[in-house]
Amino acid sequence: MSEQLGWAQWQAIGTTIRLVVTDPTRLQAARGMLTDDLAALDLACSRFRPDSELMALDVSAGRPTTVSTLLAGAVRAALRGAALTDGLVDPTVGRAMETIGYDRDFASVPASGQAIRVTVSHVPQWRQIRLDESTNMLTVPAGVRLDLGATAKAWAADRSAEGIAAAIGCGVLVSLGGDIAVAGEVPVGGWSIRVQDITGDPAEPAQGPVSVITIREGGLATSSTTARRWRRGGDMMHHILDPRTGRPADGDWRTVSVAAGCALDANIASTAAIIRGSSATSWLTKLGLPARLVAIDGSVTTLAGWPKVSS
Amino acid sequence: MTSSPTSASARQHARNRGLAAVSAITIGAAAAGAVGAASIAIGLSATTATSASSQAQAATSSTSTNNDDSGSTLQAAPAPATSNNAPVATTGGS
Repeated sequence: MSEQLGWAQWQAIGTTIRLVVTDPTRLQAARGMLTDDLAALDLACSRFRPDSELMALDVSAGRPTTVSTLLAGAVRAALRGAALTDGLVDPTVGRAMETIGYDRDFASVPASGQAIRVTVSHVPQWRQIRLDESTNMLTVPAGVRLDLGATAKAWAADRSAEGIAAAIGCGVLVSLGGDIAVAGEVPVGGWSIRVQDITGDPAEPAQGPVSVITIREGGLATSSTTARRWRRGGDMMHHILDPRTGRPADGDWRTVSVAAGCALDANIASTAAIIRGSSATSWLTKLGLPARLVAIDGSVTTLAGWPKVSS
Repeated sequence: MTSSPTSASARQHARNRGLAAVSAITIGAAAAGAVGAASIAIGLSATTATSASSQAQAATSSTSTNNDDSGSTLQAAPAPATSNNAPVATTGGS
């Protein structure tokens, strides 16, 4: 780590948080701001705490409900993801997640369990969610539980990076579980980031193919079927659901990393790419999104200018 | 996984509402003796009266005070560059 950068890493919202600043003297202030941001995010958007604003929507049972600006923003980001992926990144998969076993903070999900029988039924989908942004009035159909996991972290990383950079006057990198947003001053040589299957401490070696790249703006996100896995009966489950089937995505890619104008868009794209499978390469190329895709066998494909060098 | 047809009444109900058909899936081997039956809500393609364009519009109207995440397409960015510097962070699944 450069002597010019300060960093901190800790666990929060069920994942690893990493904060890097270009002025180490501002690290404590930055960490305080990020800690506050994450606490507010958790209280608003968590599917795993009964006192969250999101869980309180169950009581609304389909009636319009005034929500906080924070939750409204997170839902808006999720609806953006759905709209831009033809529904592949769908925030209405909360009940499906619970049924296949992801019904609590992942650290508490049993690694294995008995087979379950699931009835897949048609339900109102993301288009049934109504959000009036002028009044923060949100309507979620009765019985639908939102899962904002595909977009909320990246969206929050964008907000926090921008806000902290503006407040403390230096460059900031915010990583929430590997969803990375950068803002403000750029370190010499850019923000150097190691791309891998499962996010971790950069000081520790990573398994699988890795690539060290730099970005100077925007966001970087990775979606992977190799993280958050558990077994039910004879099937291995993971957390990236295909809303068309209600089952974990079963495509060509185990890991997809995307660079985009913001972390939210990078994460929307990486999640959609996993679900798309073989059609992801043409889709990402058409969008002009630099991407690195790791196939099930570990072979690497790069698109739209992503450096081909890897190890 | 195995699948089995649903009841005729359930399929007719779905068709009446203009929504996708239902199906039953058993997750895990050995359907016989499987425990924990559950009904789940899955978003399948639907042709409802809800205005998809209004939802997309609501999702894309700009109220953000930081990044412009309200565009009609995913925002592109310059491609990453190679680096010989030690990484300050990692990105991967989590």
